[in-house]
Amino acid sequence: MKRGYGWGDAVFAVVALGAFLWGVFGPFLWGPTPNPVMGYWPPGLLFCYLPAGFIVTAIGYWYFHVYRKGELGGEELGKD
Amino acid sequence: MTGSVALAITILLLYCGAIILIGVWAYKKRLPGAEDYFVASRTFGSLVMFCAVMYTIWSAFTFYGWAGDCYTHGIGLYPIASPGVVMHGIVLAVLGYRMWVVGKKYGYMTPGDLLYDRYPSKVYLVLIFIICFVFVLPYIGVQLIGAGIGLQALTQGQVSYLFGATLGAVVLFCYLFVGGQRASGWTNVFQGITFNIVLWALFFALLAKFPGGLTAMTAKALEVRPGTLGVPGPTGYYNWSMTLHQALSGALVITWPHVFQKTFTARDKKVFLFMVWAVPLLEFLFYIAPTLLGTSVVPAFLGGQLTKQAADEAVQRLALQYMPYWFAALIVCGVFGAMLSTADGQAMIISASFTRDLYLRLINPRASERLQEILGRALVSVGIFFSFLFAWWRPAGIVEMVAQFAYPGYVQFAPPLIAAFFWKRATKEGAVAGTIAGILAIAVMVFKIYKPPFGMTSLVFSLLCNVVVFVVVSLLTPPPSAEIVRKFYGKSAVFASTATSAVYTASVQPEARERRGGLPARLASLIALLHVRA
Repeated sequence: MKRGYGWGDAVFAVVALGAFLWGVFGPFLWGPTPNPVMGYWPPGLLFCYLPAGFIVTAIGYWYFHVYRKGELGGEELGKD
Repeated sequence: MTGSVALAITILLLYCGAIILIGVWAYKKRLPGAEDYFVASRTFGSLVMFCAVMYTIWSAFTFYGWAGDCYTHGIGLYPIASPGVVMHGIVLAVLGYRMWVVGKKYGYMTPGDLLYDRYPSKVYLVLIFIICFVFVLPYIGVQLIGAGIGLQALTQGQVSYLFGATLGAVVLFCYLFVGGQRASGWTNVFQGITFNIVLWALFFALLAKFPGGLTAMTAKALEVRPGTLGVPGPTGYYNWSMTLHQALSGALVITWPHVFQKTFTARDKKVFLFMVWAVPLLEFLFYIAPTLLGTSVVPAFLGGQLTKQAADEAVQRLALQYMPYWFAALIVCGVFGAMLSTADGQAMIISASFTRDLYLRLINPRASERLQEILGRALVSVGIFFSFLFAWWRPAGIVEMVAQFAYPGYVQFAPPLIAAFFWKRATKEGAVAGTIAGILAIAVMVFKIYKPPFGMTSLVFSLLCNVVVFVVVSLLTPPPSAEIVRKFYGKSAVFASTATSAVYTASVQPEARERRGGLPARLASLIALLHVRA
């Protein structure tokens, strides 16, 4: 059954898009030189690419499994 | 041939034999008809679907080229994985599930089946076939080239490049001809597991061999090749535009024809709910290994002055120098797995697109399921043969050319595909015009006729051209029929669509056109439609 949009849809869209943009442009905020405090991990990887991946995984799981309770949208397309 | 080379060839042949056995097993499970050959009767569960999608994306390039590119240009390649392909889980849930639902209901097996139903234009169907054929066939050749180079490097020239490419083509033919999409999916599980284990094992083994671990290794890499750990990298290649290019090509991976087709193979909705979290999780975690191999391990072990070609061969060189020979042979098995798991999906889509989009729709609409299946098998053979000829020819700079040409070519599906489910007003004329605009934009950039502003890459520029032309032409042409709207948006959407059609008709009817003139009438209709949408 077709449903309306709520706060969760807005949170999902903002967080997913934000994570995408952070992953693309965030690394430009840091120089290429890691330091011992970071365990010599590349800063772009540590602060942007990996968090973006974690956030997209988490928000995707929360949105489709918890907020929408398994509803993906488009279910009505298969019915006559 | 030395004993160690004989051992390597034996390991590789055993691996290839196991893959062919899976193909034979898939053949025994077959059902009659084209649907089974092209989309495995839509029976893939979560694990098979996951491997089929992920390992179709990861190719021979992932094995050699990824670390090589990270060494040469720095860590800026990683965004193709995260935040690029990690978005694919969400895209599969939002878009892929809808594609699967209508695919199951109306029997779609190819991108052309779905898009032609939504945009019923024969010109568009031919454009779809061109994208599926022209942008994919050379890519299979590139995979075979990867197999040839891998085996030649492993044996240090004792086994020829052509033997590796031929072996790859023969194995591909053996399991794909007999087992079709089911063989492709199940072999991808086996190939993907091998691929993952071998690459991570190499990374950890080299990490353990370097005194001081990752910290010392990174410090050494910084000393010998500064810049690899950040953007835009040592060569300045990964500026904002190139980074966006990589991320978008990853996020829109569903538009790659061979990934597009896999969407139709899922068994049920649970598969898509699984993919939502499994795809991003594996994607961004897995790529840590090849990325750090390129940015830290290779510079630390081999120095900072490798040429581009030497950097592409660095993974194999590290395995040969620092690991037992049998492990280096497993690396080549991993390369074969990566290569085959991509090439099989690509050979399937060429075969299916020719059979379904060209032959069934344009030449013989009454072709039986049996005939389609026979044609599908024959065309898989022809596609692999031509790809082999391409690998034999091995034109210079082909890998770069394909990367520059293929990804932007694939994403030309994106605007019409997204609009197919989310924009009722999208029309076939818009899809044709937008796709042509996108392809022309790629051509003018590849042949260096025009350089777009702001340093835009061919993917970003062609996608922008496609979207603008697609939207404008759609708004200036008659909306799709109620039947199409019902199919792709559900019954509830038909009423709104009918109202939109009425506004359009009223705005371009003869008296209105007379009152406003030709082009102004169309622009007025555009404004009216935007008003209705608002």
